[in-house]
Amino acid sequence: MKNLIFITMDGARLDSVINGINYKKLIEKSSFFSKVIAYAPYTIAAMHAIFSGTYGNKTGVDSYWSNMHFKKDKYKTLAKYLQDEGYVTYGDVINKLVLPPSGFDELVVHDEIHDDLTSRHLALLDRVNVIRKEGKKFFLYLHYSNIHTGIMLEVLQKYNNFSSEYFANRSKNEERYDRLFQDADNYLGVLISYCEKMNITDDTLIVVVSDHGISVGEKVGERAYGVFCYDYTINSTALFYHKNLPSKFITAQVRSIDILPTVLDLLSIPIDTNYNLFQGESLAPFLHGKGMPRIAFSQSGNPLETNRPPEKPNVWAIRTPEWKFIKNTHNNTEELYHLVEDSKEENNVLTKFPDKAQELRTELERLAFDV
Amino acid sequence: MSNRTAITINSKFFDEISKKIKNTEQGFASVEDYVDYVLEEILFGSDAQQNEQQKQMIENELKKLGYI
Repeated sequence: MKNLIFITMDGARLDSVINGINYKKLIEKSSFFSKVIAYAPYTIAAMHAIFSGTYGNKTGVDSYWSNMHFKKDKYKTLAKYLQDEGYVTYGDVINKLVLPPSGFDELVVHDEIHDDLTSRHLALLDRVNVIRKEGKKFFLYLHYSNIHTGIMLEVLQKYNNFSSEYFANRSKNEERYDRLFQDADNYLGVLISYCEKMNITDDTLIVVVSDHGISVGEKVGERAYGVFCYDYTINSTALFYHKNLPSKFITAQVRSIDILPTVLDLLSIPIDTNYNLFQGESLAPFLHGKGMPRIAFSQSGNPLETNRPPEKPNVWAIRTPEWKFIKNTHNNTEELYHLVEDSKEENNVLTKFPDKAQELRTELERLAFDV
Repeated sequence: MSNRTAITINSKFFDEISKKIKNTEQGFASVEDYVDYVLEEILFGSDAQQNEQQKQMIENELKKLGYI
């Protein structure tokens, strides 16, 4: 495999991903990771972490406001790696804030409300297929943004994070999300079928990730995402599809910062030592039955009573396969959840397990201040 | 001369600025002059204006995305 198509399914929840008709077909023939912990539960910081393989507190992108602080001279991005290897690089994104532009020959912003993303992206597949037939290598980044679009129009613009009308109608929220996800699943099915029909899959690695999940009303205070660090938003997914890769459903906990090293590994692209080494590690060992679960660090920005995300993260979290420890720096409170028994993170057992809390607090602070 | 209000600064900074203004070609008459110049640049200089413009651009984009 030499080419790369990277698709971000913005806001795709784990429970929907594993039940989507087209997603399921793709998962069955791919190496699929179901527990990829996102650095941030919102696209801007989440995607910068994925593209740099490094947490946002190190790269400078740790809030909605900080994409201009990305340290591009210190952290080499996925697109830059591929461009330096001679790839033709093209990206189609929802907004110019969501990705570091470094390394893209062209990075185009679509109109999430008016553009038909399916036909737009099929046209881009035709375009890269011409490049492919000319014997050139390509990297195509596609951002499916219409789950966000629906949530923006029907939730963000209609309710606030404490609207009783929203939180009292969980089933309505789920129906809305399911409808938006159905369109996303159809989009994915059409694109993958087209890649197969055009034989693009013969020499192209296809990566499909979700950047974060979206609330359907689980916790008052978060009507969508980007507030807390609970699993319904930070449990994202990643899928690697190529005929040479094994079909595997991997449930071990890994991190979104592991995606960049994995792609470089699979495409045999060497690490550039002129830059800081990324924090992530390749997931390739998991494809061969090896690999150990990885502790993950996340940060979010709770806007509290305002309608404006803060300029610095004020919710920090560390997650192991069994536990999650959260520090809310805005009010100096802490939470500890035993995920094995409490997957919905409803019972704060901080005082019941002080030693475990201290162990995780120490590790969280080590990661948070490692800048 | 504009109205002035007294504040204190770290002695380390005072000593360093005192040394610096002896050699400067810009002709600072005092530590106060130097501090006025630096603060003017930070608060109203071209970098400050550029940062403000960038922040306004980001704010506009965040509004488009529905986050503000």
